[in-house]
Amino acid sequence: MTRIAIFIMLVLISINAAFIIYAYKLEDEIKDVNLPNVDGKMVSLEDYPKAKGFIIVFTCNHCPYAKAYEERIIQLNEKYASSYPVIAINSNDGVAYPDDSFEAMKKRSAQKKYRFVYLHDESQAVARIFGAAKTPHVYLIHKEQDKNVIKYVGAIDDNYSDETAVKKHYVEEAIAALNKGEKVIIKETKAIGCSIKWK
Amino acid sequence: MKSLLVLLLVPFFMTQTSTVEVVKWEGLEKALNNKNGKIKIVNFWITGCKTCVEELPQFEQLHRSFGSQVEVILVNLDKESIEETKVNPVLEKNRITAKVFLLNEPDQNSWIGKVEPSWSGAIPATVIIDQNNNRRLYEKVLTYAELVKIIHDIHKP
Repeated sequence: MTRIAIFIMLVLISINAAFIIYAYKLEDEIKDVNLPNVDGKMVSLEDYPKAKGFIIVFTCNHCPYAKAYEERIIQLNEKYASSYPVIAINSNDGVAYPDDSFEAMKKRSAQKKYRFVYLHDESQAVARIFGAAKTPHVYLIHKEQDKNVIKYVGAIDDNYSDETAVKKHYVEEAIAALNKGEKVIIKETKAIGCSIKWK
Repeated sequence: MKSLLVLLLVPFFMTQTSTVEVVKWEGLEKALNNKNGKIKIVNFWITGCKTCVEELPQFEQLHRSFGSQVEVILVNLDKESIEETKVNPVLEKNRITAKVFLLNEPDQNSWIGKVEPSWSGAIPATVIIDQNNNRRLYEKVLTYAELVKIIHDIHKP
């Protein structure tokens, strides 16, 4: 009996360890993302052969910080759709937070006329593997020899509350550096966000 | 008789709701580093975060029950412009008498790592600072029982 208990404990520990070990870090190559979009179609990063990379942003409907950045996410996609398209992902538990359900995502996307994909990470596996902690949480991806590599992680800019007072546009500055073939200077930033609502 | 009743009721009316103190990072840092021998329970919240607001009463309970051993510091991260319309009503509704700061530092990357390097910035979040300035981060909702256990664990030799 105790052996079984120990075995179960070891399995549980290794599952936890797997989540920690596989959370991506800067310069890691990411696996493809295969998730359903609000239009019902499955989306893969391979659907964008001409893109130079991606602005992957974990976001959601209900969080005040995600709302504060919604317009800026729309603008980023307007500016970079052909080179670094926005891939928005919602990983929140839609049962505990009905505002973040797949149905609510479809409504939000239509209402705000998103021209980028808004993917539903129902199993939360994608958020786990990225190590995403909150919304919004950005991962800037650059294609390097057919590998999708993480070049920047963190906030969109340095002022969530007042767009006109922004001094550093982290994501745009990172893209500008990549376009010039230079190194990204600010590779990681921290920002307040709503914790991802794990199941 | 009537005056006696008034005297008995005075303590209830004297527990006034906390007044928000608006600070920059330096002001909060000073409060976090203040060596008064108490364990500091530092909770970060905004009015728009439902789970954060639901957590407030237990921090208040902790402040009232363990006030001699612990110092509860509630750090509100809302915009200063909604202090009167949104923040104060939440404090009044929950009868908050613990210390409340409004941290007016929109450049969050400049201070999150200084609170605790391992903090991603996700809220709800609570940082517990013991008397030796060791910091423990809880990037989740804490129950009252968990909070009490953490305090007891710190007190153990």
